[in-house]
Amino acid sequence: MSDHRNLTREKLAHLIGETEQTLSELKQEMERRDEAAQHRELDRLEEHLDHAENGLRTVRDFFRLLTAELRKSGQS
Amino acid sequence: MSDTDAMHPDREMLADAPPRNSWQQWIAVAGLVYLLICAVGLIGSGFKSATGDQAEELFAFATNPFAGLVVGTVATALIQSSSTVTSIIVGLVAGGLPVAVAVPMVMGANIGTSITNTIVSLGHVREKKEFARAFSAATVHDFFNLLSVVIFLPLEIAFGLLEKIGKALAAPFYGGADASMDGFNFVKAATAPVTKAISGPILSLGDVAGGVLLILVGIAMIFLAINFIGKLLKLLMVGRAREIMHTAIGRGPVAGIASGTLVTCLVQSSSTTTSLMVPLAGSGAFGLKQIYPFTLGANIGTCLTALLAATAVTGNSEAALQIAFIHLTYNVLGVLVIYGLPFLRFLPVRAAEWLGRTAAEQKSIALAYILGVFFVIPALCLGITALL
Repeated sequence: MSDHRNLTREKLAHLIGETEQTLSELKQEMERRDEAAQHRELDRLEEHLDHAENGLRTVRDFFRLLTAELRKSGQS
Repeated sequence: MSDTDAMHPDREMLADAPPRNSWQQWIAVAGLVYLLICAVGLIGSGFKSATGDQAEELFAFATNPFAGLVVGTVATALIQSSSTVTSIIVGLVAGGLPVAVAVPMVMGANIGTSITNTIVSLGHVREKKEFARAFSAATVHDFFNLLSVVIFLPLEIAFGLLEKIGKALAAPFYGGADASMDGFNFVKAATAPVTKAISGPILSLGDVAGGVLLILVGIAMIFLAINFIGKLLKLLMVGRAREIMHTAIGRGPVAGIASGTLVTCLVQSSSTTTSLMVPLAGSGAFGLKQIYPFTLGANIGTCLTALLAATAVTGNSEAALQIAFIHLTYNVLGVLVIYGLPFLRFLPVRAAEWLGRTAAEQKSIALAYILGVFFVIPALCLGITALL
C-alpha cells in the first residue's frame, strides 16, 4: 500500500482502470464457469427426474439414518 | 460437449432422440385429458345429486376459512398433487359448493403440494452441506406459499378480493349470471356422451348413494388421469423442458419465472418441476436465489389443469370457471406482490436458508418441520375451529 503513495496521479488512474478491467474479466469468467456448471447439471435432468420419483425409498432411508443418529447420540 | 456428456454419450443421444411411438403417447395424453374433463363433470353431477340444494349446509364446517385451508393442505399433502385437488374442487364448485368455501381450500392445496419436493430433499441427507442446500431449495416453496396465505387470506376474508377478481374474469365467458356457455362450448358437447353414459346407471342407485358413488368414481378417474398424464408428459417433454431451462440460465429472475411456468405447463405438475430444483440446488450448481423464481413459475403453471377442467363442467359452470380463475389469480398475484415488493422478496429465501442450515445440523428438525407444517399444525387448527 505504501508504494501507492509515491505513484503519480496518472499512474494511479491507470492502475485503477487496469484493476477494474481485470476485476470485470474475473467476474465474467466466474459467471461463465457457474453457468457452464449449471448447463452440465441440467444435462442430467432425466437422472434427477428418476431420483425425484423414489419418494418412499427416500423417506425410508431418511428414517434409517435418523434413528441411527439418535441411537448414536443416546449412547454417547 | 460437457464432461458429463463425454462420459455418457449413449445416454445423451437417447435423451435427445424423440421417444418411440410418441404419436401414440400424444394420443394417450389427449385421451387422458378428455377423461380428466369428464371426471370433473362427474364430480359436479355427483355432488349436486348427493347434496340437492344442501351443499352449503353440508360444508358448513368449512365456512370457517381456516378449516377450508386445512382441508386443502392435508388433502394435497396426502395425495401429493395440487392439480388433482384443485380439479376436484372445481368439480365440487360446479356441483354447488360455495366459491367462498372453496377459496381457502385452493390456497391450502398450494401449501400441501410443496410436501413432495421437501420429501425429495430428504434424499440428500447423507451430505450435510448438500442437504442444507437441497432442504432450503425445497422449503423456499413452502415459505413462499405460507407467506402468500398470510397476505391473501385476510384480504379474502375482509374484502372477498380473489372471489371478486375470479368472478370478473369468468363473467365474459358467460355474459351474465343466467346465460350459459353451452351455445359455443364444444368441449362440453364432446364430453357429454361419456359423462351421461357413466352417470346415468350410477345415479339410478339413488340421489345420495348414486351421487356419492359418482363423486368417488370421478375422484378415482382424476387421480388416474393426472397420474398417467404426468408420467407420459415427463417422457414426452423432458427434452423440451431441458431446452427451456437451458435458455433461462443467466437471463435473470423473470426468465426463471417464465421457464418455471412453461415447464410446469408442459409436464402438468408443479411437484415435478419443484422437485427437479432440489437436486440442482443440492449439487451446488444453482443458488437458492436462482431456484426461487423457477419455483414461483411452477405455482402459476400448475393452474392450467384446473382451468382445463373447468371448461366442460355442467351445473354451476360459471362458478367452476370462477374458482379456476381464482386459483390462477391467487398464484399470479402472489408472485407479483411477494416477488415484486423488495422488502418481501427474499423473506422466503432467508427463512429457507435458516431452516436448511438448522435441519442439516439436527436432522430431526427436518422431520418435525414436515410433520408439523403439513399435518400437526393443520390438525390442531381443525380441532380448534371445530371447538369454536
